[in-house]
Amino acid sequence: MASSSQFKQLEKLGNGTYATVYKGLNKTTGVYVALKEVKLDSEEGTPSTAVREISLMKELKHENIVRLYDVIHTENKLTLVFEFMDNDLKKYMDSRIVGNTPYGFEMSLVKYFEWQLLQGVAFCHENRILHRDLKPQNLLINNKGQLKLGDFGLARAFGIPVNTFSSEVVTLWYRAPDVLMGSRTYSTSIDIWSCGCILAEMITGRPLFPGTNDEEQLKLIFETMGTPSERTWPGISNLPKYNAQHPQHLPKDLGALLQSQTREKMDLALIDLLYGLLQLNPDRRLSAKQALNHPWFAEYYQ
Amino acid sequence: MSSSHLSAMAGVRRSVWNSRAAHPRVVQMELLTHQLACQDYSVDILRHLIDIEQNSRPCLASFQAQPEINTHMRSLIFDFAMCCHTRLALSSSTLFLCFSVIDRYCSRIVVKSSTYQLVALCSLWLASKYTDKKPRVPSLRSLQNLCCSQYSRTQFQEMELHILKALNWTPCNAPPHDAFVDILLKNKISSLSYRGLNINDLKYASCVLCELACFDHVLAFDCNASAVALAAVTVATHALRLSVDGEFLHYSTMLKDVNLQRVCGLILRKLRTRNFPSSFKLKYFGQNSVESNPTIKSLIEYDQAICPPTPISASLNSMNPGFPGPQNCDSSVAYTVRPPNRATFQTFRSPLANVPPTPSTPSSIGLKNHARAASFMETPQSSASPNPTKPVNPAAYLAKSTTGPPTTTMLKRSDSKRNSAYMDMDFFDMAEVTCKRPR
Repeated sequence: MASSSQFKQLEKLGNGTYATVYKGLNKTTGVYVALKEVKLDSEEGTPSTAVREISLMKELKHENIVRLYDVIHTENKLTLVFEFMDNDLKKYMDSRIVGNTPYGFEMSLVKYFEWQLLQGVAFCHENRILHRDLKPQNLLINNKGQLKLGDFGLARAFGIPVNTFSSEVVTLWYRAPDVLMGSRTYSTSIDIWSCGCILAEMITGRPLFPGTNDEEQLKLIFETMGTPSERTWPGISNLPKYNAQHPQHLPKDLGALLQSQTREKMDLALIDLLYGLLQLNPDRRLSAKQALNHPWFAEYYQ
Repeated sequence: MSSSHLSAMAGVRRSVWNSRAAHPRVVQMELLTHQLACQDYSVDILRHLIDIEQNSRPCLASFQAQPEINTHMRSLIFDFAMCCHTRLALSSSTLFLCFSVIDRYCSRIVVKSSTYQLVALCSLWLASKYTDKKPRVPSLRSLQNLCCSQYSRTQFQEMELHILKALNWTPCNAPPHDAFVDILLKNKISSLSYRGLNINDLKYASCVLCELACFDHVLAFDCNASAVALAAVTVATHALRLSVDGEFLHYSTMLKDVNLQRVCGLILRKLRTRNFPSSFKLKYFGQNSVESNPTIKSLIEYDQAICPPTPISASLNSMNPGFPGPQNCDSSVAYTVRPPNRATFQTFRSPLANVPPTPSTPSSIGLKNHARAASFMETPQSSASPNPTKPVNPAAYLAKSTTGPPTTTMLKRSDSKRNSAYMDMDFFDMAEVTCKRPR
């Protein structure tokens, strides 16, 4: 078993959902790691977020998911030893802002990142795990261009009929409309909505739906994707927070909208994939597996 | 956190519940959506669950090598855990997960009889943290209350961490029985065998059988959760078919798999003994007779159709030596959740128990019973101790309360506490018993 003396703690990398993350150096192997420190609570014992994150990540071994190497228990804290990644997608996108103008990635990089993102998500779903907090900050990248899912602090395993989960799931900008309207049994489709938002953000360099609260978030989504109706989304009027008074918007041309914000050429297959991921009705959203088989990714499996 | 804060949060939760209650179709819609999403992955998920199930099996040989605990105490501890689970109103997966954590921990670590209850409570805690919604997860205080503050807060925290470490930080990676029941029912929902049956009744009946199976050490250690779930669904389907249509079919007529037939047989035998753990009564029929629960009644009627109840009860009892019989008031484990209804014991009393377990008699029964239990557990196992180089501290044996009615046990326990609190890390490294399971 690893001991904490084996690692040299270096600079702070950031705060996770329930812990602080430091860069660390494995003194025996000379390999960098990420050390996530979790305080043990005198009331709660081991936080349930840690119980879940450790259990789930020990189970998930995939090249597009950050590896949890070990857990070290000292005094009143747990240290989770993760694979070290150079950067996260958010910081990487920020680094490309010139002046005040954000720039998206080259289309080949967008495709490669989205491919890896969907691979990781598909693997989670096959292992009956929902990530529930997909956003650029939680997608870690390294200098080899690899992208890996990190921070499973909000993730959980799902059964076939799931319980309802807490509502504080998925950072607002990447939150699916069904969740925003009060649907509380989150299925795999909430992760897919996030993948769609992230894809658009990688193209333009700016968040697709940067709302500040639930109401505004829905408004932004409907303005672009069109206001859903009982016809396009049967049963929507039964959602707890459904508001029949939502102004009726017609769907905009998402392709043209995004194209105006990037110099890269967007092809039709990409626009079709975006629509598949950003279906308002969760029933109609693609699954990660289906998305991976989308023609836009044809070059990877030929 | 201030109390006003807490009440505000409770208010928010209430309003969410209310808004959900005002939209009854939402839950249905959500379920449907989710099921559609799951269809894509159902094969992968099932394969994955069966994979992790292989890596999360308890080991009967190591359990039997335990110097201080045995299958009899196991059923009492499981009974206690299930009572706590019912009281705390946790999800059904939590219970199965909790049982699995207890057994796997006891397959790797030498557990003193006085700590067994703490192991159970911490397993329940961990399982709940993994499965339940946050507000449902029991607080440390409520866990302490469930055992009459027998164990200190530090003991709880240390045990929780010890379980995490002993099970390589993945205590919750065992798939619960009800996950398999769900998948089986979902995948076969269109199948003819379910026509006309209510799927919720089927799930309920299957879960009752799975829970009962967990109490049986043969079924728990020898059979995969998936096999038990499949057998339970099979038996439940036939039983409900019998009570709905009056159509009787022996489970073996449709089953080619001999092993599955065996599991079905074991589950029904468990049902036949009628020695339902007291937690079962608490959860399923309270003060009433077992027949008052229509689902359990159907199951029993099916079993009676398979095996008519003539003079079998005596022989059946002897077939099931691991199960304690109705003397659930044994004193080796301090019982803090009292069996809800002593009177119902009499209804299901086996012919072997000639002393009715009324409140005035448990001391003598406890004594007699205990003498039997003690000899049972000490003779064969001492040589096969999982850790021969480190014999269990004899003081622990002395400290362990071996006689007396429950009340004195409780008093004695407080001084044995220090012993049980002692968490020896050497055990962790050395007491691992490797054993290949027969497949």
